[in-house]
Amino acid sequence: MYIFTAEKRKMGSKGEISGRGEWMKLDNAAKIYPAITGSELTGVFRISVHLTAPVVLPALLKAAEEASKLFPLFSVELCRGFFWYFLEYNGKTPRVMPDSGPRCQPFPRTMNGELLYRVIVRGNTISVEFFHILTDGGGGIFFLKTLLNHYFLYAEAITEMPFPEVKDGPRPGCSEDLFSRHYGKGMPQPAVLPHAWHLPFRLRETPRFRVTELGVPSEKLVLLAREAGSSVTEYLAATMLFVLQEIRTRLGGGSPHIRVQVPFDLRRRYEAETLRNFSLFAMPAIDVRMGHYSFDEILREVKITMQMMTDEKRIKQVISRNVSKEKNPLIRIIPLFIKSPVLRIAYNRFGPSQFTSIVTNMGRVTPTGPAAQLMKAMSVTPPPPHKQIKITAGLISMGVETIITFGSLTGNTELEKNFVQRLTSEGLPVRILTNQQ
Amino acid sequence: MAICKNCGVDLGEGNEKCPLCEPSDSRSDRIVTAADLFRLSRIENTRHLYEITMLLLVAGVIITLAIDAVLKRGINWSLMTTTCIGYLIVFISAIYLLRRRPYLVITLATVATLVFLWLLDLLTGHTGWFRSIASPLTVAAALLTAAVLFLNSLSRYRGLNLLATMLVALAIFALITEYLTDRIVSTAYRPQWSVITAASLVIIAMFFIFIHYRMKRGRSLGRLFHI
Repeated sequence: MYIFTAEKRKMGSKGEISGRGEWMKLDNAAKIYPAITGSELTGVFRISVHLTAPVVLPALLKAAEEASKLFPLFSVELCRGFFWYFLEYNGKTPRVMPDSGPRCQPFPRTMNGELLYRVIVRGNTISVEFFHILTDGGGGIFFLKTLLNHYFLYAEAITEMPFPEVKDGPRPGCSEDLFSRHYGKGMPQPAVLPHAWHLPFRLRETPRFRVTELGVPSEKLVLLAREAGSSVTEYLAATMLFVLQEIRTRLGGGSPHIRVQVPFDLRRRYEAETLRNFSLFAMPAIDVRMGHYSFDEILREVKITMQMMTDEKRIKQVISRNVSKEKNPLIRIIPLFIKSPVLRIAYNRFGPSQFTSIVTNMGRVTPTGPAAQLMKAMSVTPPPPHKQIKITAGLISMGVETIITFGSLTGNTELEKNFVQRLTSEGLPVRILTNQQ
Repeated sequence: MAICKNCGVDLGEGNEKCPLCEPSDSRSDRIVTAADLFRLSRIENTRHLYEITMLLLVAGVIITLAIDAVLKRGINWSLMTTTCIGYLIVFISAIYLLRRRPYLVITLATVATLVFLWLLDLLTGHTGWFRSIASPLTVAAALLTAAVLFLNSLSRYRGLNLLATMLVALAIFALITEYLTDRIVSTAYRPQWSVITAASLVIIAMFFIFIHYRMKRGRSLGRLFHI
């Protein structure tokens, strides 16, 4: 039996949150979020696990309390400094809330004592919602695995952890901002991308954000991708581009560049232990002026771009570009009340113009032991997209099923329908699990 | 095994009530859902802003009174600043404390404005401008604001039609202003600039109403003018 020893853990090495009064800077990826997020563009993502039986609430409450003790770097509130926002430790445990209303609702930007993550529960489903300021999908999954280790201990008295890889909780270095470490001074700027085409669909009335979840058999999906000589991420990014091209061809107009943002985790590459944001993205694209692309041509483009963008030098170049803005003395000395509106305007002008949609793959989660039989599937809800982007997709695999979740701000379901049709035409059975309209 | 009818979780042995959906603390400011959290954070931010504003205004009263008392050995010009700041305190407080009752806000703001202008008239030599022009203009502005609010509340889609009603109200206000100033200056009403202004505003209002009801029904102002 594993023993949880949260109280005995010492996380106090340099730069890590360990006790009251301590604080940390926002990491490079998080810095933009306080300025751009609000009631609709919330910057909140959700990871859910679907169990075979109703969630035992007392066990979940205890598990949330115990798991959160292992994550002092998450027990922080967002505070407003004079030049930048920062995170201050408050030692609180996350709120456990019933699931009501749309997913990924906003966290208040500054409110005394409020943490930037929460546990959501409904029926058989346990979810965690994180504000991107705190961590990315990798950190979110790490916390959810730890929560589930505790939950099954208290709910079912299962002492064999389903996720032994996180039994020790976060490791030293978990709160390090690795973007700063991998910053290289004097690196050339990456090429500026031309504006991308955007879906011209009409926005839904508020609250806009709705999701559609599709279930596909994991093994068949992997087989399909392998047969095409690609990874699942590349295959689905190519499918998204293919579907977008169909819609662009039918509707016409706008930029000829169709581009999909594909985030990738940097932790494995750098063997990093950080639980803060540490991911970048590739931007596979097609230019419809070059003519109609077949699926194989798109897949080749995606593979080339993914390989190129995940090259170490390219990664360093992009990190250096991002961090150099933060290190710019002029930007640093501008007070926050001026910086925030400027950042918001700049983001709205240049941020979403770079890509048409997002496909994010959180990878495969593999539970072990008897508790594995008590978990049916996992799903990830990407943050509500910008009004220009309108539809994004996220996926995660557990057991026999991969769940693809589309988050949408529009009532038009053409993209989702075409995506399903494309997959089924390749012989992949698709189940619609949730369709909030 | 007791299951919560709302969130569907197993409540565990011996528990009848769901602590998430039916917490023992039944205050209106309790946080149950994620939406509550965001709503209450907005209320808290507004409260902070109100408190800081009040603090600054009261500090302004104290500082001006103190300067006047020290330098002039009495209370002279500081009466003017105190009256102005006092008016601001009442006006802002009415908006903040009664924000859910707009007609009461208008009533209180009108009374406060009338008292403020009367005091200014008294402090500036009591020449009678309060009675002849300030009070009728204030009452007219209040009635027109109430009318705009009422018409706005009748509208299902609030967009350019709201702007149109505001423009029409402004047109009427321009006519009233010229009528009152003419009565003071020459005792006879000769409509000139106000008619041109009102006509221009009404034309723009008609244009907005046409766009709203015939072309872009339901377009919100937020969407139309978002940056």
